[in-house]
Amino acid sequence: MGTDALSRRRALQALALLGTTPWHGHLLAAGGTTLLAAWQQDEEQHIGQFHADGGTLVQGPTLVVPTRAHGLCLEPQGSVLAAARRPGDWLLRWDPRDGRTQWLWADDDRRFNGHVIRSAAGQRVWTTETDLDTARGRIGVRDVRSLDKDDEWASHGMDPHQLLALPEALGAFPAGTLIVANGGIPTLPETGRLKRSLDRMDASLVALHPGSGELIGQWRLAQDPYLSIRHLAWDPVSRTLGIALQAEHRDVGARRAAPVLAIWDGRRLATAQGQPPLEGYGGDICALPGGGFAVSCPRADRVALYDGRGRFLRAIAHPQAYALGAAPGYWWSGGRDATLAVEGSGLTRVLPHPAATMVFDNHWQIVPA
Amino acid sequence: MTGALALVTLPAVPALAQVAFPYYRGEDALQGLYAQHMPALARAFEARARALTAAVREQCTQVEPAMLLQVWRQTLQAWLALSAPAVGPVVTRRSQRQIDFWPMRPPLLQKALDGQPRTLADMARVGTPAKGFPAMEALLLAQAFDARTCGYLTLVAEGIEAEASALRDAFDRLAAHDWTEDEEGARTAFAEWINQWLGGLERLRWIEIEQPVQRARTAGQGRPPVFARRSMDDNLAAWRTQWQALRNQARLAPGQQDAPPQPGRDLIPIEALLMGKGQMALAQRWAQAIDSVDRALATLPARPEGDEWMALSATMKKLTALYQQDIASALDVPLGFSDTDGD
Repeated sequence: MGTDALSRRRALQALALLGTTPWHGHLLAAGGTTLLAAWQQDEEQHIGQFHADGGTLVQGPTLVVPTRAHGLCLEPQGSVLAAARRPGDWLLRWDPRDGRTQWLWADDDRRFNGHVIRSAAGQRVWTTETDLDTARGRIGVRDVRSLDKDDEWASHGMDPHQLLALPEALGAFPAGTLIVANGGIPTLPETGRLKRSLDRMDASLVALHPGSGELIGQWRLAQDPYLSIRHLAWDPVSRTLGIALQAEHRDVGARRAAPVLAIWDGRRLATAQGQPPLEGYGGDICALPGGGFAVSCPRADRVALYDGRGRFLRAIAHPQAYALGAAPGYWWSGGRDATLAVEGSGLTRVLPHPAATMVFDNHWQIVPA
Repeated sequence: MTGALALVTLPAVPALAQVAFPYYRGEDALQGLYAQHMPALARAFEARARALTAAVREQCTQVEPAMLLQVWRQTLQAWLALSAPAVGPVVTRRSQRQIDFWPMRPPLLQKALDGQPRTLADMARVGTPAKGFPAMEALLLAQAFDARTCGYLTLVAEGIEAEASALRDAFDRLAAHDWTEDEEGARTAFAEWINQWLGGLERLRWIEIEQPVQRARTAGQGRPPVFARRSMDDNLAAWRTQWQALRNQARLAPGQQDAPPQPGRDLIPIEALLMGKGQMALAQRWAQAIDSVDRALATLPARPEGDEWMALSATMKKLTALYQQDIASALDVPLGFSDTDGD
């Protein structure tokens, strides 16, 4: 048995210590659950579906993509939007049912940053992008059918990453307000993904008018400018927005101890409280079925759980936990060798991945039954 | 020279060939790069750029465009040899953007021509997609020039020459920099070099070779790939020049297995850094992966087909994967947003 197989077996054994039981599928709706993700396997990049029905994840329709994908957006008609990871040059619509694709390549002086969503009304597609000349963040406003850019808005920061249409009104912000995570890390096209001049970091959360792009709110974690604001999840129970953070401190101790979660309640943005060191890296975030948030911490091999006010509750061991996804009654965490399906009660099931060589990206998307 | 000596046994050569490689510091590598290697490349580029300006200024209306195109090619090769990978002033001056921005935008070029700029100051108001090497190539491929086009070509050449002179000056100043007296600067510059080497490889592999093929494939209807340069000969030459420039900084030169590069005297390539750290097996894998790219490029036909481009890219991608997974970490350099990391 090779080293990889050994480590895989050990990881699965470690997960078994969580108190899991054989999978009987009773947690899920009849017929199982379909999930979407991006992953790397054997030096090829993929997006595709998986079906959880019984004790394993069964691979469904798959598409090989030219470079690494990141965030996926499920459209009402069943197709999937994917944007290339920064500095990304392609945007894709893929229909898993018939394999049809619609490609759009960046021809202007812009690059995609890995996240794409549809507006609440479904008339537009929004993409986070970077202006290669100025390194400023842009929001691409695109026709929902052609994906061509109709307009472009400032993100009012650098390195815009995930975006989210507010699903319900919060404080002064109506439902549909576009919320954008400006990661704040300066980059240049000449240096690709090299993080430059971190002393100039300027991460922020912004609220934009969904019709005009007008800036209607902006918040910073002023007490710590080295926290990059990256991923977003709405918790309908606590009615707060959870934000997964990634620390960029030069000082290793400060980076390791940095918070991986911030909470926005419509008025203020504040970091989590009572959190132990989690290596300062939040890979993904999802809302928990009963309220609160899960943040994956791959560098700490943990998934950290918080209440809706950002108070740390506990952490679940999961080697290289990255991709999170939530559905009514349960949530999912994709790690190195297996995905956990966690019931609201905390009952956890382990679903080994179809192949040990699969390396999943940051996000799971759950396809509604 | 400090640190331990690493005893090297190279499996590819007879067992008698055991050579002690010194442990190289980052400062040694930077001194080799910036004092020994880059200044000569910058001077060569400046000389070619001056020749290009002179040729355009003096002969534009008198010679066949093909003759000027040949001078343009020589200057382009010198530029690519300097800028692969882009380090130091090539990054801070954003030189690639200034003089080698593509895709060139024909409407912007036409607008610039119509504006009849007369000085480099006028050219500052012209967008980068309408000047530099790609714009010049587009104009030189025309059958004949009028006085207006020649005037514009002269200004474009002067712009390239000005950038070349600024780079030569900046690299000359860097050559005198004492990295041992600048610990923080050395750490940053070494990390930039290691990251940028990968950036240069990926620019070549993805931006220049595979992405145009993928674009054409996804467009369907048998559309041919549109590469950076207009002719396939020029693309192949550009790719080989860039690869050779990257390779020079990556692989030991002939004879260096027996006579390791010396700090303060030689360029110290990445393979030597690995051997100096005692990472013999990794250095061997590194050398083999580089040699695979050598073979793939050498055997690429004059008119490659889609699968041949993709095979070349796949070979290069193995080098990228090795670099991301093992090489950078062996050199104690974190890669910014590496493919082995999340986002």
